[in-house]
Amino acid sequence: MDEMIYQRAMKKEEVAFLAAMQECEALLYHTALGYLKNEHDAIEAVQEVTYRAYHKIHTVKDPAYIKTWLVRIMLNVCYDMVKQQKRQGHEIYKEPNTVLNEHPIQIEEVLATLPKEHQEIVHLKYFHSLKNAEIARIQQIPEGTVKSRLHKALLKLRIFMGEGEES
Amino acid sequence: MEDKLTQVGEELRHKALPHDTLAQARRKGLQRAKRQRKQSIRVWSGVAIAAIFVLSFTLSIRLSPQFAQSMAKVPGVSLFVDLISTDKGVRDIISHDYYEVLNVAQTKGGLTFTLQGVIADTSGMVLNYKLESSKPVQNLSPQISILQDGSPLAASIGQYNSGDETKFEQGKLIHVVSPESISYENPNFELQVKIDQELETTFTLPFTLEKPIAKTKKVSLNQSLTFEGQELIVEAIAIAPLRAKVTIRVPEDNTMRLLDIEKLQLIDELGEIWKQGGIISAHGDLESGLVHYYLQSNYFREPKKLALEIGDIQALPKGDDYVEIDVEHGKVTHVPQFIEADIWVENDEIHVVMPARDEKESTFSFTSPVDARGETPRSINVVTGINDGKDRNIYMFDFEQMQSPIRLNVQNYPNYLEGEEKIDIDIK
Repeated sequence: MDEMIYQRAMKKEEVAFLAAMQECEALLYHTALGYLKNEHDAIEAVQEVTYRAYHKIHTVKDPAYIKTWLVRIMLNVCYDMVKQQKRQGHEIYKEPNTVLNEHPIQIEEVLATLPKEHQEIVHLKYFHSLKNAEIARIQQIPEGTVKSRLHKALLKLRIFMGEGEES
Repeated sequence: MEDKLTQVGEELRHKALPHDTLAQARRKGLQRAKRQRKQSIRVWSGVAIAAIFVLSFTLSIRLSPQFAQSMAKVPGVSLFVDLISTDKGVRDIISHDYYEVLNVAQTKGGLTFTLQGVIADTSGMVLNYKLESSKPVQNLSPQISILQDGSPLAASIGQYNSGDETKFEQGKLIHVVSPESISYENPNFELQVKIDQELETTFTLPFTLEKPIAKTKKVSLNQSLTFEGQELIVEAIAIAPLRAKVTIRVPEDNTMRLLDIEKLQLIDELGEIWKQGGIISAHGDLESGLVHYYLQSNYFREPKKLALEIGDIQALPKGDDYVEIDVEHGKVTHVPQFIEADIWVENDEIHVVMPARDEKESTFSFTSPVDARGETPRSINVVTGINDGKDRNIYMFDFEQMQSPIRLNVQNYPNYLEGEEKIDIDIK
């Protein structure tokens, strides 16, 4: 996509903003679907991300970071929605350790219990197939930090998934 | 574990995208974001609002067979349904047969691009196109430019998806907005379209406008308005069929910095408000001293008199309109008196928390942090959210790059200047 579109979106030009959101359609929807597990909630999450993004898009420093920024908002929205559903009693996932023996636990459920920075990096790496170098460039952190965060995230996933602790 | 994750990602990426529903969700989200208002009570749910739009649209067709006839003349009319249902000016454009049919097509590499038609005036254009493919395709994102006399138009160009996509066909509206006015002395244009797929395809579609271009009605106003001692000058209004442009200048010697004008609306002779709240988009900003606001246009109603209502202006005293933080020592060194917020610093993050005034809408924002040398962070992430009655903004960036103290200038804050002003406009 033309970087101009993002620049204009950042100036809150409505048409450009919608075009930018549409450009990230697959990325956002699939992120939400991976997290919330049903189409209806994922669509609601897209609406909420659009809403939040429009208010704050002018604060993004560089158009190149809009995609990651949107994924970050999406993860927050999903996180909030899950929390709200829990409060309202629609439990969508349980604490992983307590249900290990009851049914085969889904990896995404476990992922949702990790700290946000770990979730984000796993999403970018595995769900959106970005390379470590790309993630490092987007997040402006050293590649080594990407590696160590991934390592920590995978370690936690293995433990929760019952694949044994690493020595 | 990596394989499992890759597999999950693979499965996710192959899930079909409900384009229409997602486009609708984005529009609803945007509508919600734009309904920035103080403490009015929102009783309409998203569904109710959608229902009203649909209702008003079907009603207008029922009431006016002539309108239905005009609509029928527009190729690819379904693309316009959304726009027509929310913008009365565009509805008038169609019913006055101001839309010009072009139907210029080019076929290349199994793709056919058809420029179906255009609405053109000095403020810009709206064009619609159809892209057909012999093979199933999804999400083609054509890059569009428009040339006149061999050079690109000085305008912003955006595309707006209105759904109705199939595997073999997609259509979009192209919105062109020109803050300067477009000259139609030479009515010959060229639409250039680049599509990056496996192979790059470039279409070149020359088109000539034959219908006369409506003359923009310009009224010079230069009216000074004062809100609690703060001045702004409404310089001019220019009404073209697609949009009305209001130019506002803010003098430098105000004691308060104007942050935002939430209400800027046109009311016609019959007392009809042209879009509640008013602003569709803007060019420039209040801080720089000059803004062009774009409102819905009532051009074809040929009003002789209009009223422009201005109010709900956010402002903070100059010099007390920023938060200052010494990140080296983790200390907040300045908070504006007006602002009621908890502000703290942790791990390369600045947290600002205020009591939420609204369940869904955040009511404050800051511009990017600026450090002692006037530098802004190379990259910054801002997370916002409303939870448990708290409205939170978190600014995340690398503190090491920055030299304390760091300032966050207030961009939006619900501190309103008293008063509302009305300007009567005579249109010749």
